[in-house]
Amino acid sequence: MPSPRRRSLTPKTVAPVPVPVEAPRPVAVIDMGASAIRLMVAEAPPGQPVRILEEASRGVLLGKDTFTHGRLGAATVEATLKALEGFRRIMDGYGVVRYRAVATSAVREAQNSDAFLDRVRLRTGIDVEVIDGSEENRLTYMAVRETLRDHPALTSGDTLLLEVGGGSADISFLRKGQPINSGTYPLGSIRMRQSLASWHGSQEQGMRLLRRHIHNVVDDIRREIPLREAQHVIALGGDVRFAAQQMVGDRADRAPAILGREPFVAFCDQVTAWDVEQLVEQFRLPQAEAETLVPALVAYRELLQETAAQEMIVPDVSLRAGLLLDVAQVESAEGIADFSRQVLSSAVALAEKYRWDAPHSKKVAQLATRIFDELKAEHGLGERERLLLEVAALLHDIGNYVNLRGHHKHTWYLLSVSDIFGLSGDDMALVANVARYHRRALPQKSHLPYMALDREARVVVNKLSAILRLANALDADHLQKVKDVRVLSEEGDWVLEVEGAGDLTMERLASLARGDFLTEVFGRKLIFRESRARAS
Amino acid sequence: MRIAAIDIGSNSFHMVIVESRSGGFHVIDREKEMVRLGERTLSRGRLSAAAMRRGLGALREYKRLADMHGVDKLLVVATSAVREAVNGEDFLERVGAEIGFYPQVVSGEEEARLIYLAALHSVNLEGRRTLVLDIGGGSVELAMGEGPQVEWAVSEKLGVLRMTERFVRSDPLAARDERRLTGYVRQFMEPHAIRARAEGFDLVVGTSGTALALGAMATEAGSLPESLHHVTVPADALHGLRRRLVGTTLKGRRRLPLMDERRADIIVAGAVVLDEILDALKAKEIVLCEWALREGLLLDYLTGHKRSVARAEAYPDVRRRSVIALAERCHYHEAHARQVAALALGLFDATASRHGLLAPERSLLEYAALLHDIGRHISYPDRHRHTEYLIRNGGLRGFDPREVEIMALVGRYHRRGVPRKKNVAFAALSRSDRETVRVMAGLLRLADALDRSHRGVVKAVAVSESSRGLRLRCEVEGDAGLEQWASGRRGDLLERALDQPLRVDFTPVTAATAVRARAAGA
Repeated sequence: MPSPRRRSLTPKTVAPVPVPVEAPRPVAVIDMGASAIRLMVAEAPPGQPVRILEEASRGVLLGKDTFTHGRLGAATVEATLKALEGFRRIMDGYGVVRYRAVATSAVREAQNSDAFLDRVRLRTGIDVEVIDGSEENRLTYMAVRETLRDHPALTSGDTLLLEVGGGSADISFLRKGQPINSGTYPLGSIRMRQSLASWHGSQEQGMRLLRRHIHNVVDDIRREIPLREAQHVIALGGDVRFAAQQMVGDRADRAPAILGREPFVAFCDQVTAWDVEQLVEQFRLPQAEAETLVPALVAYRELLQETAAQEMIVPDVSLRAGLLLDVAQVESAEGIADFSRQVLSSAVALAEKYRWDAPHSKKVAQLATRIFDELKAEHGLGERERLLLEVAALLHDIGNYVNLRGHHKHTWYLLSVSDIFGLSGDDMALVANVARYHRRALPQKSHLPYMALDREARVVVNKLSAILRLANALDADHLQKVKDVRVLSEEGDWVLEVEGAGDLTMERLASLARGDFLTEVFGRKLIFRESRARAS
Repeated sequence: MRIAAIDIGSNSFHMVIVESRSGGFHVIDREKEMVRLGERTLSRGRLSAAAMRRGLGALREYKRLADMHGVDKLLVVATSAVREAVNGEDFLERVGAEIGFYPQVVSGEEEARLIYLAALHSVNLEGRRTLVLDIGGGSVELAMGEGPQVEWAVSEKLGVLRMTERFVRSDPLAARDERRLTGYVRQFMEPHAIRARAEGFDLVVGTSGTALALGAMATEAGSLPESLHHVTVPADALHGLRRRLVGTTLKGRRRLPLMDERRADIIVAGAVVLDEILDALKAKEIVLCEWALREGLLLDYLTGHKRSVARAEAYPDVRRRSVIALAERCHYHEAHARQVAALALGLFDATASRHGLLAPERSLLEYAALLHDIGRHISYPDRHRHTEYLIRNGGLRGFDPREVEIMALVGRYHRRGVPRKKNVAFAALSRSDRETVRVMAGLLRLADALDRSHRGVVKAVAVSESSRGLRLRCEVEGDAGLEQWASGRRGDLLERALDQPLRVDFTPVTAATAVRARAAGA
């Protein structure tokens, strides 16, 4: 079974394929969320649209346990195991081999998640992967992009993409479809519900408190994400899908529902006036969903009001849809280039937040990727590593924002706690380490963050940071005097052929000094040679 | 405006490049190079060709760096090696002709005054009588002052490079050589020491590379600490270090942990000089200061005064200014921070008989309260941990490392969790400091809850004690729903720290309080 985390970004050749002798097997995805476990089995033949064969869902309140007690209770675990056994039978029935099963915050934040997942694997044979907010975003975004491919919300203009989940809300700001900022905020419907449950006043006072809380969080969000500038709002999540269904009914063609601003606000006001029992009766909702409906809708309402959007787009997609696209690997070469662009623009947004020295960092990124390309045969790393190197290079100096002294360590800290669209927690740990080692001490056994990486990742860090150190040295003056660099092999040594303008003494000295790690990692001595610019 | 200050010392050259802002500055870059301009110069009285070549080379690099940073103004001074060399002027002419700036030569006394200015702005002198001691390559400067006022400043030719060349004739240092060195130092320092002791002083501050290097080795940290600034080193430890170093050979010293190889030859003389001076002064300890002549130059330029350092407004607030600068850099929510600080101090005062903490801790609480939310700038989840990181690493001036640690931990514990020994930084504090953190974090957490809505609705707090515990009465103007809800949940830390159950009540503001609050501009 292909391990989902080691996806390579190398574009697949999209040549016409002869009709296969055997029909491709269906794929499956399982999503363990805060209030339910859901399965989707689908056919995803290459080059053709995905066809859903079966969907199943079991309500299990994982979130209630985790957000109240911090661990998954025995009854919940048993209910999950039963549900997954049932899903396993369905999958086997279809002959599914490739699947991806993920769990989000309700499992991620439970103290006993490891033991729980172990039991799942032993009992059902299903390997569930716990994903972080950033991976959730990436998958959801993939699904949204597929559905709203040609919509102006994604092709032009500023768009807010938001999802109020059980544990937290994920919000991204897109400019012409590129994610610029994103973040996770404490607006989870189950969490808010839990806080309210401890309130012993009247329903009305409780509502006021809830609004106040949401208002405060929105204040914080506004500092990081330019809500007011959003012209479109794309809303995801079970609660808003419920609202859409109530307001405009089911769409047979699965087209996105468009909810007008005023009507949506009116609907929210109406619903929030009822208590849980009334909601259960009125809408025939399961108790669990009725409990979280109000906090969620108030959150959507407040956020919508912040923006300039006149309507809310509610596409019929979910994390599962994104997972499906992921597993079916429907990514085209164009999709991959898009992905890199998104990652880099997210990285630049982070750098801007910390007031980076843009010309210097961009130059270092250019030279680093250049050297990476030149040494491809030597290091054997792929496109993903190249992207991570580029991100590390762009961000290597953000630690200056905290303090010039020890700034490489501050860079590590900032990167270890920040999110970049499309990069998982493991990716960020790698990037943070590469950026940390751009100056001063080399990786050592006493450096905990480095040793926390697995051996393979440490090797990658060594190679990438050696390249980054050299690239940084080539702009030692911060004047961007070096235009380009080639690496030639001469009698076992590496000649750095540097094309630059002006006096390159500093760069020469720095390169030879900071190239030491490169020599250590690759075993080649470095020679610095200036080249005259070639006439084109 | 970008300014670079270059100090052409006898042992090392230093440069610092800063961006000036409202009376202070933010460091952009630093450079240091051990040029040894004074090598042989000090004993011979003229700069050797090799020394001049080295000096010019270093200055050329500095000029290049300064240009690259877009520096608007260059401040360059030269000290004893150039001052005393017969061809010193020639050297300066060459610098001017080949590199493009003309360094100014300052007298020893002037050097001392500028160094005092640097200490004044980076160490919390707090109106105390302070002796600032700089041990350079060629000369030693001494400046005595009280708070912002410099009273006298002297310079003696006792620098480490000079003393090494003159007295360190053996390896390890022979007893006879040590005696001669000691005698020489005492001869010149005694009159100043007598004067200083007669006038009395509260604090000795040590600047320059030698003092910092010796301080680092004397404190015997496992590895070189990130910052030596404001670290206090006992004179005993320095004496012990001197005894140890005197018995070592050059080769042996080079291998010592924390020994900067380039200083290994001059450090013995350095240790003897420093130890003898502290002994003559009968000083018990010395506070290390990382700022020195170059920063003094900058400050002098920025305040526009060479002689008088009486700019009181620059001064007692070195801490507050530094705290606000960090807070502003992190885009803090000023109104909320000030309100929380006011509430925290109000709570502190109202419960003073319970916790027994005094003014020094009170000021740390205020600063921690002003800074408690700066971590938000990094990210919202875990903001308390980011606050801790920023306080610890953000370069706050005027605080010693212990005070920085206390503020960082109080800031961290304003939300989530309980200070426990499991937290390594917390465990490293003394028992009484841990108690301080527990109490102050409890006060801050509650104060933060009392402004949950960020609307400053709580105008006054009063605490009364009874057999049933503490009762906190808050006068509010406007809807205090969130505050009520939050304070119910956030009082636990304080209850635990004061060992008293706590009840929080909200009452509408009285007319008197409302008037007072409006007058205060709340």
